[in-house]
This record gives sequence, structure tokens and C-alpha cells, in this order.
Amino acid sequence: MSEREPLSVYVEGPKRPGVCIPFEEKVREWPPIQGETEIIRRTWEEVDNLAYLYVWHVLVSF
Amino acid sequence: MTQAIGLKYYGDPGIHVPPNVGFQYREPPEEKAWMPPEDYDALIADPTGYLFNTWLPRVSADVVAPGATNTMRNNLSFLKGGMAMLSYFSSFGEANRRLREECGVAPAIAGILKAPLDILGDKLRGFMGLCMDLMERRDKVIAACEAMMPHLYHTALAGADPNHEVPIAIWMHRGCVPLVSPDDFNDIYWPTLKPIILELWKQGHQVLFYAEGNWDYHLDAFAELPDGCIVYHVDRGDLLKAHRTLGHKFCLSGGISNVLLSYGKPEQVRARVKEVIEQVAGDGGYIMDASAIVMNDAKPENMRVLTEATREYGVY
Repeated sequence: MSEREPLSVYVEGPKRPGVCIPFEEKVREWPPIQGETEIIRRTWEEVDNLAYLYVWHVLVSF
Repeated sequence: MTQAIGLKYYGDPGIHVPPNVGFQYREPPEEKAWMPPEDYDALIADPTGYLFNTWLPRVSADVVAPGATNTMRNNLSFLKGGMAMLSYFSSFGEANRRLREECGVAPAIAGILKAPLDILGDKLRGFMGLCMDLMERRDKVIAACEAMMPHLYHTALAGADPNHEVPIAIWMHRGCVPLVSPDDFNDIYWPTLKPIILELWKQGHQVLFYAEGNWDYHLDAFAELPDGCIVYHVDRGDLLKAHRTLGHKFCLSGGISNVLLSYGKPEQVRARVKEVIEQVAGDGGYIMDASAIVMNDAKPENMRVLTEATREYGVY
């Protein structure tokens, strides 16, 4: 087996690292966003990332 | 945290093992592995989903799989587990401050990494299961390791020191000869770990290779890495050999036997410290440390001599 590609080739798509429920999926449950989408996206993704890190840390750290 | 979710593999000090020893990992027999071989495709397709939906309910007494009967206790496991983990990691800052100010000890690491093949053998298939898989379903092992690479990278990066002052630690377990074959290391272990190390280095993070056991067979592979991107810690390997192969590129640490610290005499510890400093620290690039984590069986007088002798001989 040859050496792997840089990691960046593995990290796209809905199953990407740091994501449990993609913002693109969650946003479909809401009425049209009236405020700044980026603020809502960032807040959603920050909390989602904590949940992601929880299960990976159970696997790796405990 | 471990008891908040009823983690079955974790032996807690004071509950499952005596209070004055470190936690213990309790690996199930091969036929009761946390991940049976038929689960490979699910892990490969969606590693995070597999961990939440299948693996976590298996390893945790209080977590239930989707569709199963749910109780208050089951719901509490995620709430308490998450809060407890947050509390655990949040306490590091204060603990490091106290170590610095009260003991004069600087923190050595921040963040954690495991190699994909190691994590597959440790917590998913178990070592016996992994050994069989390397022969019977090698393509699945490779695909699973590849699928976990970006997640292990992301997890390591999330815990890294934002000031880039201390390295991320990788705890190296079962990926070395003779626990696996040279081909297993060269074809799977190293090609699925090296890109993670390179990417972390690209982000400005050094990695501490905590090479538990003896990794001498693989020193040439580690020498492929860019200068300065790792600190190489020697446990049961040959410190002098590591110095010859890696010392011109990387800082080394370790090599003071824990057996010596627990059962040796102070004069033996002093002699070993002097020998190590003369052999591998003459040109710098060495951090004095025990071979493995020091437990409470180390004699206090030996630890005192370790420190004093290092200060005495480790002067340039």
C-alpha cells in the first residue's frame, strides 16, 4: 500500500469530522431564518462539535 | 464520568481495583469483542454514527441503542457523562497552574492521539480479533483505519495547546513488531498514522510519541518525519539506539526503568541518570523521564535521587 493522500481528501461530506447533525440538515426543520445565518450556523456547529468530541473522547481517552 | 455512563471496560480505582493504583482496561474475550467482525461496514460508512448508535450502547450499561426502551437513567447517562467529561477536561487548567506554582512542574502534553490500528485493536475488535482480521479481512481493517484517520486527527487537534508550547501525546500500544508483523506496520499502521502527524505538524503542533513497549524495529520509519515534529519517548526500547537513529532530528525522553525506580537502590538510580545524560544528552535534545508513567510503587528516595542527579549532571 502506498502512502496515504493528505488528510484533507478524507474530511468532506455530511459524515465529516466534528459533525453529528449537519447544519444543512437541521436548518431544513426551521422556518426561513430571519437573522444572520452565519451566527446561527456557528453556534449550532460549536455545540454539535462538543457532542462529536464526547463520543470520540470516550473511545480514545477513557 | 465512567460510572455516569456505566463504562464496562473501565476498571475504576477504588471500585474495581485498589484505590492506589491506576485505572485498568478490561478487555473482553475475543468472542465478546465490543465490535464483532460483521460491523466493519457500518464503522467504515459512518464512524461517528457507529460509535453513538452501536458501540457506545454496547460498552456502556446506561446507554441504550436507538429504538430500545428508554428510561430516565438512560437519558441521564448522556447528560451526566457530558457534564462530567466537561468538568474533567476543564480541571486541567487549574491543575496545571497548581503544578507550575506549587511544585515547579511544567505541563508536558495537551491533547490526545491514538493510531487508527491501535484504536481498532484496543476498544473495538480487541487484540485477538484484530490479529485474526489482519489475516482474514485485511481490506476491511485498512478501510476502517482510513475511515477513522480524519476523526482521530480532529479529536487530537481539538485538545491541542492553543499556544503550541507542549506536544499532543500519542499513546502507542500494539502496532509494533512482534505484536503485529512488519507488513502490518508498513502497510497499515504507519501509512494511516503518518499523514495525521504531518498534518498536525503543518498546523504547528508537535507530537510526543509515547512508545510504550519496544518500538526499536520501527525507528527508521519514524526518522522519515520532518525534523523536530515529534518528541520520541523510550519505554523498553534501547535509548542509545534511538539516539543514534533519531537523536539528530528529534528530542528524546524516558529510558529510566520503572523497575529500577521501584526496586533499585538510590545509588543505582544515580548511576543510570549519569549514564543516560552522558550517552544521549551531551548535545541537548533529551528530557529526563521514567520509561513509563510513574506509579505509587516507585520509592520516594529513588525519585528524589532522579531529580537531584539530573540537576547535578544535566548542566551544560
